[in-house]
Amino acid sequence: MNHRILIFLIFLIIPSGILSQSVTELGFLPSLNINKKLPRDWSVNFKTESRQSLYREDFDYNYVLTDVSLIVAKRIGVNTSIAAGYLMRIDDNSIISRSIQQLSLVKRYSGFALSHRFSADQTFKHEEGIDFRFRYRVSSEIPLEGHALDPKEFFVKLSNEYLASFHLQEFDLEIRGAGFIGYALSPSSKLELGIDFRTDSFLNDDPRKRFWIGFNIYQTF
Amino acid sequence: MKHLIVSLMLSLIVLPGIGQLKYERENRINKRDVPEHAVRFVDSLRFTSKIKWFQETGIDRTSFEAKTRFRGKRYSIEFSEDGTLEDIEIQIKQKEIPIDSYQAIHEYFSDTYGKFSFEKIQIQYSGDPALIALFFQNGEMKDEIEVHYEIVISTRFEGMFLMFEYLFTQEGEFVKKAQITMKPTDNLEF
Repeated sequence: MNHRILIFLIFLIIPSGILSQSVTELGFLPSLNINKKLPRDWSVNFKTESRQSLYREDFDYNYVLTDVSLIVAKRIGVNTSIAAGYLMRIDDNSIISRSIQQLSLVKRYSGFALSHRFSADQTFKHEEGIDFRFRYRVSSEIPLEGHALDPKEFFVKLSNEYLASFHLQEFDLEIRGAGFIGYALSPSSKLELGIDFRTDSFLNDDPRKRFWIGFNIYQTF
Repeated sequence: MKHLIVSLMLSLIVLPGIGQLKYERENRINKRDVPEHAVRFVDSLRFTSKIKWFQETGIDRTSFEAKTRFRGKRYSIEFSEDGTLEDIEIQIKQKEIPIDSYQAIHEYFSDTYGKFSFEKIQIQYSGDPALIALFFQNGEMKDEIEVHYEIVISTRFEGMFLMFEYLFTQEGEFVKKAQITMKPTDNLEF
């Protein structure tokens, strides 16, 4: 167990040490995920995520936006599922729509679970055209007790995501890395607390670096 | 700030209903918390890699399990609460099952499900602990040692993708099966 905690701390400390020197934005990103299983391997996922800025050039609390999404998923293999849905991004001035499609593969091994997620989304912005993104995320859930995650146990979740975006013939790449410490309240409920680092605009400009403190709640019915 | 408060309140709405259920769980434990004769039995097998001990607590039973790797294979030695040996399981590949037994098992699954995939295969030894120890020390196989295959498969059954754990005799005859509860992976998918 100790070496797993050590890996998590290294993951947590190294990026924060290096990157905190030039953080563009720091904020809070809590989310609530509710998943409802339906017959014949269908499921529906409701997610709401609120973005709140704590630092942008200076320390100052600002509500940024809230995302609300509804995604319908269908298992097409024991470890594979496809999903599609709609996200509504609400800020103080506007509501933006986004359509989402994804394919995810989750495989449980002895001692950890590994997930690959391939997704595409299209963001419809008023008078600005459509923003297309293609994403790949690899993530792992590592139980800190035993070889499988049981209720009342802590776990570590690490993830790395690459997002390629195309908007009006302009290309950008965003890279995300996240480390969370989680707790399984029951087989169907999990809490996670950690950091989510995102950097983009580094291909043609000064990189934008954003640090989010995430708090996620997952509940499956 | 009001948005932060709303987010936290949403969290609290969900939490009270959670955590009242009782489930089976596996805990890593120290060697000194294991019945002495279980430790002595595992020591007698002379594994060279580190042995990890676990306690498995279910609704109506507690057991102890030693896990290790030996010559590239995963070993699992299970004991009852009082330290009595229940079985030794070794993870193997499907080609390591004798051809006649493998054909019988494969035919059983094909007849039952049509399409299926092997997820995990273990050979299981149970019986008199002294005879089993002798087998692992010297390779001396006595008829009194019972050999089974514990096999996890994935398949599509009644329109759903499921996993089952099966037990077969050494000859490939069905003994019992249990459906494996698939744990939610929503925090890795969304």
